[in-house]
Amino acid sequence: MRRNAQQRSHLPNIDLTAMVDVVFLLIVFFLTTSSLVEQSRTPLELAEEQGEDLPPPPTPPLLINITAGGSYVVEGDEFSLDSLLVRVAQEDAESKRRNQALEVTVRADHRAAMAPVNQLATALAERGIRSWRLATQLPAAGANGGGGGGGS
Amino acid sequence: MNFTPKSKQRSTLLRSDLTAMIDIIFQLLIFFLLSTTYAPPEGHLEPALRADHQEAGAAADLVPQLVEVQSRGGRTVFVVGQVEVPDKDSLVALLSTLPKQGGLFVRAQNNAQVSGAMAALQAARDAEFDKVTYVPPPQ
Repeated sequence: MRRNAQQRSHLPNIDLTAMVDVVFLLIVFFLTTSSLVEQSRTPLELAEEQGEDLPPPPTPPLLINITAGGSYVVEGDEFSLDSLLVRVAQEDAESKRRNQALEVTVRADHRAAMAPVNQLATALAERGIRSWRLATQLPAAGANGGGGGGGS
Repeated sequence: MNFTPKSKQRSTLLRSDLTAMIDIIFQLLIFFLLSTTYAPPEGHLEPALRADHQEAGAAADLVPQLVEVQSRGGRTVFVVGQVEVPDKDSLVALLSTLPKQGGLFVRAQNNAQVSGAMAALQAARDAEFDKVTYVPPPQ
């Protein structure tokens, strides 16, 4: 009798804790990376440059996308320069309320003309924003670093 | 008085059915595996920003250390003083010979492409300029 009870308790006990841990970790990873990054990033072809070694910004930056056609896009919505500057002013006021500087990152398509970038840069500088980041696409591993900025 | 054997008590207490939970977890995992798209890491260039309010002819302080990015017939040209260079490598070589303490200004004309301006800013960093400032042309 005693032997039978012991056999029954040994056979079906499979410890699933480690597997469930790993699966939860994977789910949390996909939840955080895929949704957040993809929401904020508009698909653009950025200039392929190495960039600088910069620390990550202390606060999440305001991402301003400039498409190949020269439109300003923030969080999926298209803005005119005037309405974009209203948005920048709001974000700037919000940052100042928290005693922080507004971080601006501009993601401009490499095929775009510099006119919209220049208009934005002038407007930002006139509003006292002297620091911005320009996003680049890191060159593929193994590709030659040289080459250039020749236009097409 | 509980007359059930001890081994039986233990087994009924600890067994909870995890099948439904594991099913849902696997479905979530498969959904995220299929729906996610890989976002490649991005680099950043951080030039200082300055608005040029002066007339073009009066911007004497910008002339010695200014890289102007121009577009001519669809080709990007980098102009440093009287010298013109057609690509980034030549620009890095040219900038490496300039004094570094004064910093460098970069200005891209409105019809130049973003790729040309980014190449000029990267060239300035590659030539080991610490202070790089982007100055948009007067609007």
